[in-house]
Amino acid sequence: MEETVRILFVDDEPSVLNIMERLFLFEDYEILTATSGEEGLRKFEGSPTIHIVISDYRMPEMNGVEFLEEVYKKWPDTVRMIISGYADLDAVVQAINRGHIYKFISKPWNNTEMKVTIATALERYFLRKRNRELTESLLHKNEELRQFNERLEQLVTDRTTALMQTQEQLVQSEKLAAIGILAAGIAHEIKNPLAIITMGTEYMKSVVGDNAMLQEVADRLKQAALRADTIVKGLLSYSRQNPLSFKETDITTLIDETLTFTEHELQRKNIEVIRKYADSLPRVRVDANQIKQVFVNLLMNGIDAMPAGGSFTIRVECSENGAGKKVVQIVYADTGFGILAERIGKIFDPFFTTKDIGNTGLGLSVSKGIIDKHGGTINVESRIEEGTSFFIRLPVV
Amino acid sequence: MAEPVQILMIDDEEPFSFFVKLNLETDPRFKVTTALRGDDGLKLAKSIKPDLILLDIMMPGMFGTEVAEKLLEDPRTKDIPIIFLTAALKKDEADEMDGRIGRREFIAKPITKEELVIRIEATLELKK
Repeated sequence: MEETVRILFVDDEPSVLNIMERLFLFEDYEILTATSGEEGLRKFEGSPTIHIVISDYRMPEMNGVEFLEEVYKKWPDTVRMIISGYADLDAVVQAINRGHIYKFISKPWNNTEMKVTIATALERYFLRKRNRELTESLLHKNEELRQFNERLEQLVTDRTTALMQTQEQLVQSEKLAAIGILAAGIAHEIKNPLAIITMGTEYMKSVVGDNAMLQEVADRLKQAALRADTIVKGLLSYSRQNPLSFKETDITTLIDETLTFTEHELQRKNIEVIRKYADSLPRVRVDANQIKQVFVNLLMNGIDAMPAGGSFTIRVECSENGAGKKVVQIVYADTGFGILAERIGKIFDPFFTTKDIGNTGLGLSVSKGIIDKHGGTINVESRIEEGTSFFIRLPVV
Repeated sequence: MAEPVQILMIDDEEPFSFFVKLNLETDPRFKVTTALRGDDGLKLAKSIKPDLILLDIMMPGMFGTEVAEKLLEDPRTKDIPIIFLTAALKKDEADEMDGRIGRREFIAKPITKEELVIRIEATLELKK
């Protein structure tokens, strides 16, 4: 053993201590002695690890059991043994039962037995020590494993969420592509009848003269046909495979341009526009026309949501996306009537509309498609009677 | 009063041609002749020598684009301005066709009478 084994003998009889020292003279142990419990405790304090302590029971002031109980409190690893005559057996047995004393050595002792007992006690000491080390290491490994498991679970959850989102986007874009193909296929068949209705009603209008009722009938038929045409056009926008032409752009310029288109409408509806653009925004790579289409869609939606006027706050700021990448965030916040919670999950679905007839329900799904193609995201938050905010995040160049 | 502008309309959608004719002829400046098929239209183009042809693209038998090619091949008809009418054409398809049959006017159906008249006037102005 590399470690020096220390054994402390405590006995108020110096002669007994002498015998002990001699007994272990040729052993590889460091023998310490004390003539009282108090001295024994001082030895413990002043010495490196004491592996074994053997104390006499009968000593003035502090007896052996009291001494060993003190030792147990402060140095629980030390193997504690007591030497006693049969007269004090009861007290000793109780101490053993409390687990505070490892072994009782009866007086008078046999030297060989004493040596064997000490060897066994030492073995016990090192076994316990090793055992504790192993347990600690096991607990540590267990904790590492638990943490690893936790990380793994988080990772699986994250990946699953990402996968589901991708799948959702795929399903959505496939849906849109299918609609586009269908629309292109039927556009011809629908547009011809619409052309016939339009021309027919126009002729009616030119021949019914001042019959106001028939004029109105013709007008309404014509309006209906043109409305149907708007819907078909909206559908066709899905089949357009025009490659995007990306250019580095200052996003606020595009926002301002779309505000110019809609200025008249905004003023007419008594809607105030508040622009909050952060200073020195990074540039983005976008297809200007498509992104402007998104902005116009959001403006038109907001205008429709504020029939009695209100305000539109447009914020542009630098932010980070979920993956910690730098993005430009554009927020369109209106003070309109808001979107019901049960509807909000559907607003990016094609054909979903809460507006009156004549609306295709394609504006937001087309917008989402455009933002997706830019590698960005579009989200919505809404409170009834308070308003709706759309958040667009576009990757920075 | 000057002679009315002779317009030949080639479109397989009979009711559409019928209403276009009715509408345009409410204006005494226009006289419209209609054909439902490309080959009939070609024959009429040669015989009546219209001032302008309104030509549908998607027709059974001969496509409007083929009719246009044949009109261009014939010296008697090659200078007649053509306005294509179509229910399905998209901007990129129109651009592609430009290269094949020369720059032409395109009108997407449905169209209002007012728009149609403006486009016809503009094309004829161009011709003069």
